Amino acid sequence: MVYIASWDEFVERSVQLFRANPQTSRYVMKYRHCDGKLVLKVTDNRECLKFKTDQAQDAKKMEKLNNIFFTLMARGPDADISEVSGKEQVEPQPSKKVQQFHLRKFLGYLDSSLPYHSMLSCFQDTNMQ
Amino acid sequence: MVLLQPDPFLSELTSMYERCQEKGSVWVTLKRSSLKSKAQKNKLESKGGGVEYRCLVRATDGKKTISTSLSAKDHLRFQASYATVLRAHMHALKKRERKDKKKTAESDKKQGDVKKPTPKASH
Repeated sequence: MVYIASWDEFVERSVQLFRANPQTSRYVMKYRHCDGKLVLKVTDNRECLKFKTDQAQDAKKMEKLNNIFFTLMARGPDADISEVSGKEQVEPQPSKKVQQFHLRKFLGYLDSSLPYHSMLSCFQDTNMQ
Repeated sequence: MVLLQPDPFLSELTSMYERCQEKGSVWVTLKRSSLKSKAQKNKLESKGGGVEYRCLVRATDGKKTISTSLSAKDHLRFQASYATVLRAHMHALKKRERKDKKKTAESDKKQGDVKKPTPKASH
């Protein structure tokens, strides 16, 4: 089990791995705040693919991979991922609206529980855009 | 293991990330699962009915484990707010240093300057 250096190779191989074995495959994201490290792992208990990073720019790439795996796992291994794996700019407008709607709902939810300052500021930023 | 609804799961995940800021790691696992045992699956299949698969999301800090399951309808909503939670907490990762960028830009320019005169000279 060796870390894969290239992000594109990691994405390609992990999607292949999942499609070959959708029942046994899992995708794990480990984040360690104190060391500022992020490790992504995809395995089917036979083969294991890993990617390690400490760069903030890779967090954005990870977000896309998250979306790919959410789609594949919720809709099935044959689901079309061209939409999620493509560039963000291509995304149609309605999804943004849905996102904003959900953000507001989520905000309300948080207001009722605890004051997450870091999070609230993040929400404000997204609303500004 | 506690199976939660997607929204409480996200709020629990948030507090898990906050608890583990000083030390410790947080694992989040995605898996395609029917949430049924093998025996139950065989029963369903023998009856001819299909097995419904969902996306199982589990999170742990090594002490406590929480989980939620997403249907094909839920996942878009969930993945957007999940991304927001991650963005709000993953701020320990290194940002690209601007100094390096400037340096490379300058060296590129120099290279460009060197290259430019040559075509002029040839004319």
